[in-house]
Amino acid sequence: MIRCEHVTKVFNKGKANEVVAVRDVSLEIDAGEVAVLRGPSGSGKTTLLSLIACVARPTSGRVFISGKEVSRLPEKFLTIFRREHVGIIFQQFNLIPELSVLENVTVPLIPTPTPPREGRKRAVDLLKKLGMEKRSSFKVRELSGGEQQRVAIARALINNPSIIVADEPTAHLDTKLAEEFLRIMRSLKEEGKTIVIATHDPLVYQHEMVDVIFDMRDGMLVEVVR
Amino acid sequence: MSLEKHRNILDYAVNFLLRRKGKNLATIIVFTLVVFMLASVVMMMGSLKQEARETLSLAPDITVQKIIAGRQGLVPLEYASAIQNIRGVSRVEPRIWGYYYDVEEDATYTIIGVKSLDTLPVEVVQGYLSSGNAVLVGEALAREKRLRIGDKLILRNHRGGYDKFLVAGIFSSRSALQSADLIVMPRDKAREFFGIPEGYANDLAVYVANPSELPNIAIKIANALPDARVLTKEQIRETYDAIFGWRSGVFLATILGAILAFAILVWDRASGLTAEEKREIGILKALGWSTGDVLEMRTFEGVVLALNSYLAGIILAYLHVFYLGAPLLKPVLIGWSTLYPEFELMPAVTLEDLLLIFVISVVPFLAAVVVPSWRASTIDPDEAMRGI
Amino acid sequence: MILNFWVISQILGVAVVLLLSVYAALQGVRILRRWNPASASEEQLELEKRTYLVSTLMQYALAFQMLSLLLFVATADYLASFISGAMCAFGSLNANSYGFATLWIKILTIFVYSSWLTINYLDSQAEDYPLVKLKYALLLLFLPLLITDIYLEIRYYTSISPNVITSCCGSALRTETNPYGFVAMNFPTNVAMLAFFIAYALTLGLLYTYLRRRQRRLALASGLASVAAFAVSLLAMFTFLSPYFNVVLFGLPTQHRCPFEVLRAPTIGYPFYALLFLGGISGSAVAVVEPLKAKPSLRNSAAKLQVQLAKLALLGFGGFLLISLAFMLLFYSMVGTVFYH
Repeated sequence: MIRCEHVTKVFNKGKANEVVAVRDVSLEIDAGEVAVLRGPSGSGKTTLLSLIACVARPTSGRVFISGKEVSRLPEKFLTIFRREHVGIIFQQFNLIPELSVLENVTVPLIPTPTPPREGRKRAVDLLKKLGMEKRSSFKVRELSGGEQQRVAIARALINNPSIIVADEPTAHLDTKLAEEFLRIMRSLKEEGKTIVIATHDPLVYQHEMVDVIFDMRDGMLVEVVR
Repeated sequence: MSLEKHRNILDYAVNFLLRRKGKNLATIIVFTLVVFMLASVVMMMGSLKQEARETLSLAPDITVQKIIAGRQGLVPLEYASAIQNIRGVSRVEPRIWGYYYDVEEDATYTIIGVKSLDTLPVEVVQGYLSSGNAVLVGEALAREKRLRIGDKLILRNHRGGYDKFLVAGIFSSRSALQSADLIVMPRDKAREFFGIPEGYANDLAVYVANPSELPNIAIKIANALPDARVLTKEQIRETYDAIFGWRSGVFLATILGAILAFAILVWDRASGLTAEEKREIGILKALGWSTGDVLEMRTFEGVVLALNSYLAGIILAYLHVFYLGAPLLKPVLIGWSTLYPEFELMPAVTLEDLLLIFVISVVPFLAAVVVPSWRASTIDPDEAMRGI
Repeated sequence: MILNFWVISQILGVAVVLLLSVYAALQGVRILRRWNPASASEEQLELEKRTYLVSTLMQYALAFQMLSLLLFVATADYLASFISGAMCAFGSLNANSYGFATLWIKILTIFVYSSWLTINYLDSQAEDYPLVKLKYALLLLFLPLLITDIYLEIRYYTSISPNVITSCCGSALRTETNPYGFVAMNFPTNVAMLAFFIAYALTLGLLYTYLRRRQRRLALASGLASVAAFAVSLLAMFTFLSPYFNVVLFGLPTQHRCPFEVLRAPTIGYPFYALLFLGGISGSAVAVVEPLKAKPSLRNSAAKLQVQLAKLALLGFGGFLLISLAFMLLFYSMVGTVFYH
């Protein structure tokens, strides 16, 4: 499903502030698996996650998703691919504060030919599934942290992606909400989605649904725990 | 190539704009003002040009005046017969006309003598015409003096006595400039009123059969009558052109200044993307908007802003010029405003005028925001990931 | 020399088009020199982003150039009252040798720019951007065209002398006093009429057959025929076709063969010419796209695009022909014949 071959990502290449964020990483994640990228902050897990999520292209090496090489796609096609195959849950949720819950969830559908009515219907269904239907006309700034994350999850799912990518999803949540988040991920796994989570929270990587853990340090993959 | 996608992006662009009302208000106001100013000038010029065109169409091909000691004097009628003999001249008409200052109204009227009143394109009451002292008056004058058909008009003649006239008709010509302050009376009456001696006229109107011979005939007249000043229609036209040209030149300078001020404002607006806006665009990019999609949204923003300001400016200018009589422009643009205190501008806006205003307002604006819009759309999606 | 608000605005508009195009070409040079699709470097990403900028600049340039064409004709119409002998745009354009030259070059740039945008659109449909080198090289070739446009236009306005009598549509007709207009006015009307109908039968027929058979030869032939039909339509408007409109709409005499008069009825005139441009541009694009099919990554999207273009061309030319025929019919009902000459 997801395969990285000798992936390296360098920021500011050739300049004084050059940073090698990810160095020669090769890994493979099968369809339907839950994978965790584990490591301290600065270990390169977020950068690796963004390569897997098709948000950025590697400086060298190749990334394959569902058999398609995405590491050489022009930005436009990488974006289209991401839109269709990957749902992203950001660490800070990255919701747009002035918009309502429903509007936030439908944002990824805007640059697609989906008619607004259909988009809204899909959003309402997802919010219902996440127990948020009563909040759909609220502005996101009126929501609690846990609720905001559920909006972010609904938004990640709106294009019905096969891969869900989450960056430090439990960082801003208490234990109860974190468990709630994991419950949702569990149900998504049961739907057959492939899930990749970057985290250093034991609550996440010790969860029984996790199939594989990639230990990261200084941009390198040091250990694979299956 | 789906329209639905573009509609979605347009909706979002409007939403994006509306969420930043305060920030965009300044741009809209300045933009509207610029369009208002440009449109006022263009509409005013269009209207004046229409007036001028009508004036010109009525003007004779050649006007001959007599110059005595550098000033305009009366033309002896022998000149008319001299001109009539020049080959190519179809008709010569001596004209009696002059200005009349009305103390009561503090206004200047133009009195014109014509051969016969009933050949003019005015609805008249026939019964009054035959009274011998009938006149036709312009609409503005009638309004000012509260005259109706059948009323008496009393004017002070050159001897200091008072002549009584009967208003037999009122000009309701489309062209106000042409007829607003006009009093038309039979030629003999006008001669008597002004005290112009028999055998003389104010000037001669010369008509030519073939327009291409006009310059030659004008030269022949000038040669034959050394003390005559010969004005061709072309010269009058050029005078109009010079007036429009000069005035519009003055305005162009102001306008270019305004456009410059405007461009700075635009630049300021477009390059100064707030942290919050940057964050939102980063999020959009991460969520699957391509650079092209964001660029399209920014473009729509510009277009929506520009079109709204454009429409608002056009409507305001229309009201300003045609309902209020262009109070802001009149003193500058019309040199003869003292002579014609009352005339109203005819609404004359063409599609071409609107196009012209569009090209000098919306086009430079849109061109100026292309690069800043593009720059805003190139924010990397992984910035949202990295939490910047 | 004529200098007024309209002229200055017109030149401002062309200057904006030139500025956008020069900027686009500069970006194009940068992309041409550094483009490396095999690289995933930040520079390549930066260049990819610049392709969007160039596309947008060129779209604007085309849109503004179309406005500039409209404004050019409108300005000529406006100037007619300052130029001796001119009664409408025709007379103004005929005032010196630059007037019509500018008009033709403007029309040419519109064709060239639309073709470029077609190529650009196709290129952006394929993941490997196969036409990058070609399209940015083409951009450079456009600059001389635009510079010629602005040069001719400035020469046109500076050379106008309000005192020199020009000949207008009514008087210039088929006389030797038509120095600059061009030969079209002297063109035998019957031949023009024949050419018009032959060109339309041929073009519509070819486009229709192309849509059914999708053959390479037919695509190229349709493109050529479309260009011919466009040119012949203009010729027609200068010879036999415009009087139908001028008589029916304005009651002008049949000698009045001004192709611009119909624009004074904007709701008929502008859509009428818009259809002609739609036909000419999309029809010629059918042929422009054909050789691009050689790139494997473009074959499908190019074929799809060609079908859409051919349909648009049919719509454009068909609409133009229908409106023309409708006015011929109206003319017939008023005058009793369509052969008035």
